[in-house]
Amino acid sequence: MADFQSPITATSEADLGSCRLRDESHLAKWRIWEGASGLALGTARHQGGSLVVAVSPAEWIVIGDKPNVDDVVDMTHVRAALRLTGAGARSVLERVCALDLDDSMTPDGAAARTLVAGVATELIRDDVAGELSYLLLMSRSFARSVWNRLEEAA
Amino acid sequence: MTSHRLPVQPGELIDRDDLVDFRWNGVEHGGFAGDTIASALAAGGVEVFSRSFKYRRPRGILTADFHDPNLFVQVGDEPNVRAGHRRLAPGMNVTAQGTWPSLEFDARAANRIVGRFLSPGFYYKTFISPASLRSTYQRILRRFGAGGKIDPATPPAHAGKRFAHPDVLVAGGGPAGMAAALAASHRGARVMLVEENHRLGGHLLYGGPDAAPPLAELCAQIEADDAIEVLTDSVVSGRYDHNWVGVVERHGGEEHLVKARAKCLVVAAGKIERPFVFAGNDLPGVMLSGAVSRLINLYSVAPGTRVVVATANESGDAAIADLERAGVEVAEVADLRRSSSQLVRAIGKGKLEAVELSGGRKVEADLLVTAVGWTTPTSLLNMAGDRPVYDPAAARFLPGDLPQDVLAAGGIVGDGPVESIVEHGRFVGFEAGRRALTTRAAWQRLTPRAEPSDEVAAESTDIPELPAAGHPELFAGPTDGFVDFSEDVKGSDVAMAVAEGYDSMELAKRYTTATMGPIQGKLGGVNAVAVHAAAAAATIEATGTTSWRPPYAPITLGALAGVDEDPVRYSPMHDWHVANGATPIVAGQWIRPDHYGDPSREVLNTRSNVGIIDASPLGKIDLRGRDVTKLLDFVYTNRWESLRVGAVRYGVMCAEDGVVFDDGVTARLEADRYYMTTTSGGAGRVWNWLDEWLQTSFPTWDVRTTAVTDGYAAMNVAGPRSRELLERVASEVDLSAESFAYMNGRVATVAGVTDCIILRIGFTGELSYEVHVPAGYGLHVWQSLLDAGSDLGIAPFGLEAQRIMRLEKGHFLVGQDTDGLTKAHTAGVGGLIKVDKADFSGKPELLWEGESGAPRRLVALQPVDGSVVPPEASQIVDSATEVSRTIGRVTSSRMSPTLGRSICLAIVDTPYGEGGATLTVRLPEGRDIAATVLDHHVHLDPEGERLRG
Repeated sequence: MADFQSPITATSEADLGSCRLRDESHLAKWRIWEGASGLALGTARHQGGSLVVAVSPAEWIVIGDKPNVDDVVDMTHVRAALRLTGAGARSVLERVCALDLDDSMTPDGAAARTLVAGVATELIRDDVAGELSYLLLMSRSFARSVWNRLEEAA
Repeated sequence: MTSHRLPVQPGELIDRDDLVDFRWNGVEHGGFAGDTIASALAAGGVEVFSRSFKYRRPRGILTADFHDPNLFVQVGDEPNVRAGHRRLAPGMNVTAQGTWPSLEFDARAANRIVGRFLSPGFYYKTFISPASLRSTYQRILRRFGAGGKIDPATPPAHAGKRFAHPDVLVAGGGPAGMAAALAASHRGARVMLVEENHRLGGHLLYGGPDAAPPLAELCAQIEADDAIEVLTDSVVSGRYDHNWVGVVERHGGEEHLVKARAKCLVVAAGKIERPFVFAGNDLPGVMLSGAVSRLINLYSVAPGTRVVVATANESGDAAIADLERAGVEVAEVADLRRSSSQLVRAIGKGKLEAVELSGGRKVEADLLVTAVGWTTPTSLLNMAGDRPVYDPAAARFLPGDLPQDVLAAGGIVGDGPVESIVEHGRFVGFEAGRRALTTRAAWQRLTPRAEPSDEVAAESTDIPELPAAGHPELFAGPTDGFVDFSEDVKGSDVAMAVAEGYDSMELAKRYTTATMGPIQGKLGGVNAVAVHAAAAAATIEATGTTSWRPPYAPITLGALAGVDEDPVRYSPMHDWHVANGATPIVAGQWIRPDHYGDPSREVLNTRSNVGIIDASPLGKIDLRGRDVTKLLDFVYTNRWESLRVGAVRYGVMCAEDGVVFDDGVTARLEADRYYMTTTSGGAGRVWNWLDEWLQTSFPTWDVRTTAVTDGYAAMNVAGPRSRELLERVASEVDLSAESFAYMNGRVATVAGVTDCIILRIGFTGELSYEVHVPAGYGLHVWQSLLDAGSDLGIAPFGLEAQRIMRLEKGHFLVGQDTDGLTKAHTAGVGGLIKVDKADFSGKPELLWEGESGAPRRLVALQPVDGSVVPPEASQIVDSATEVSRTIGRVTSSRMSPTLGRSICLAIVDTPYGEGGATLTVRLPEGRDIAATVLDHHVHLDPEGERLRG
């Protein structure tokens, strides 16, 4: 099969100075309506090799392996995934997102559906090896606009 | 020009090693880094900086800070720069603004001679009639406006905003604000400290040697505290509900808006020195005591050579000490605390020459300093609902009742030595921190994603009193002077307004424009109230203040507008379109190819060979569950339970009022899995619509909807050779006419990409297949189809060619051929309305429309002269009557390349819409043409042979 094409052309990684922006749209993403009921709304949790995200009632987004449930919709191509990592990630996001991103309100493992650069986004605080990191999921067609705005904001 | 620069002063802000060259009205000047524009010019001997608004009087330094009404200048193409605040930068081109022909000689100063005509209400009284001359008046009066010039060619700046969520926001970085920030931070709060000036310190900065140690101590502590974010050269522009606080960060001429949601707001705005109202109070050379202290202590500039000081407080006394230290000859001190001492008038022609004191005694001087009290900057408190209270003993307004989430600290509350001010700030900051943390804990409990924090002590801190010092009530002297320097309003103007019946301060303000200029009454607001009260024989308490509204200080429109946040959407094939010469068009949020050079050729090629269009913006919804058929039966007007797996059906959706709101096809891919497509613009609307019905009316139905518009790159392969092309690249599917008939859908592999959905439908009227490909492989499949079809004459076509082809086929577009009143019968889809269904959205209205007859109908129309294309929205008229009457309008029109003639869709009143009727279309230029109504909507291939082949 052909290679997965990134919604961001020419590049899939950008150095924004105080943080790094990377396109992770190729990650498999799934929508399920059962099988993760223990997870509190507004949080995300690593389970096995997957990240399970709860931002709406009675449904979940799974990033990683295909969940073993009856009803699952493949969201891999529907949602783009951009990851913003580094100490300066918060101050970049603060320019395009109205949420309080302080540790007290949005700690590691927090998730929310919000607007980022005017685009409906699932924002997941998902630190990588102790380094501040946010994973942003948005409709694929908007990804390039969001990418450009993040670069501008930095 | 003589230099007025003093020897090195302790605490001066200038860097004498860093010379800065700039221009003032075309002449080279020099200053130091750290100078403001005004201090550098004053050091160079400049005395006149501007001409006043109405009378064009020469004006000089009054306060030497941001609020100086006389120091508005133009810097490059930036107007209204405040020269008492803006720091000098190399190469600055500074000019006086609104002067004509020059600052030294302003022709409009003749206004002074006719000054009696410029009394309050002059414009209302004079330029009201005759009405025919009003626009002429306006043109001439515009020339008299103050303000600078902007160059329309200046490229727009992008001033990005940011959001902030401090626990405590402190407005004002003087000693009280700094102490409050530190205490709140010690309490555990995250603090934002906002200071208007370039440095923290407030009045300590120019408070002379005694103020230096406490200032250094506070600065060091702030510096060491990571929980305090300091914004200097920034201003809190407004306080709104729930402590939504706007902060404008200034970086030279570029402003950024910070949208802060503070849990507690501490207002430590200090005090603003007010001018005194007396004859000649606006002469260059008349300054407030604060201006003198700033010029000497911050910028080492001697404000004059021989001075008279009229003082009623310690600020004036401090100015005397500063002047003496600077070597300025103090000719006379008039202590206004003693009733025998009076300041009568300032005398001079164009600048101060002498001062008249009590008993008619005149003292020669080039500098007059007044220190007569304060205006309290309560703006932010007023915005929080406070009504400040006038204290006659202190001769100023003081804060009244404040809401729980707003506190006031320092000079705005009372007076005292630095230690008392700092102590007050500390207590207020500590209490602010407690309140903010209590709120934060409550918010954390309400926000599932947050980590709950420890309970906060409920006990509040008692904040010690900071009493306001006694001060004589000095507002106006025995002579008439300006109460508002920005708007050139005199005390006598306010008194005249009262005499004319404007006995309410709010009305007198609007009538005289006192306090309505760029300074917004920050200096002399209380003077206007006092003069009004005196004229109305009322007390200041009873007269009250005018309302203070946001913004506290002017904000540029650029800062408010911020960056354009209108995101656009790109198809997976976007870069291919760009590389292949597509002309883009913005359709909804999508950037789409309108055409690749020649839409007519694209149509003809599609009709004779095969064309391909990027249809990715089509709305797509994945529907799963046992009850999807029930949902389809409810939202579409036609019947769905009979749809078998592998079949596709067209449907029209109506709102409850029977008005068509979307259309599209839905395929049944598996028993409990459907794939719905909607119009491109309607994707979000339809998904909301489905979910709304499911959540509110049918919560027990087993249906799950997922918007997958972006998940599939859609491409329509259309034309007589489309099957032949698709057979070359598709697998796992039999494309033969027998097994894959019109209005069928299959899941297939295309160009090696699995899980593609192929729908055989015909928007263009041709044999065509809509291929939906997982978006990440869209470009690959698109390219593969083009490669495979090169010998079949394949060519891409754009939106325009598709619009032409659908019009040839007579397919209406929701929103183009229908509007917010077009019900389904009117749109001509009566055959799809199954009123025998138990229920569906819009049924009662459509039942009624069906029985009573649609008042209008959509028809296909062909101009008799096929070379004329009536523009869309051309009116259709009945010209048989004496006065022609509109009976309809053209909704779509194009020149059909296939038929070689013009074709239209139109909405007309039903009696005129019979097939064969000839109607009159009135073109926008007024000419009438004849057009014939067809029996059906279809201009091309009404039997559908192309489609079904």
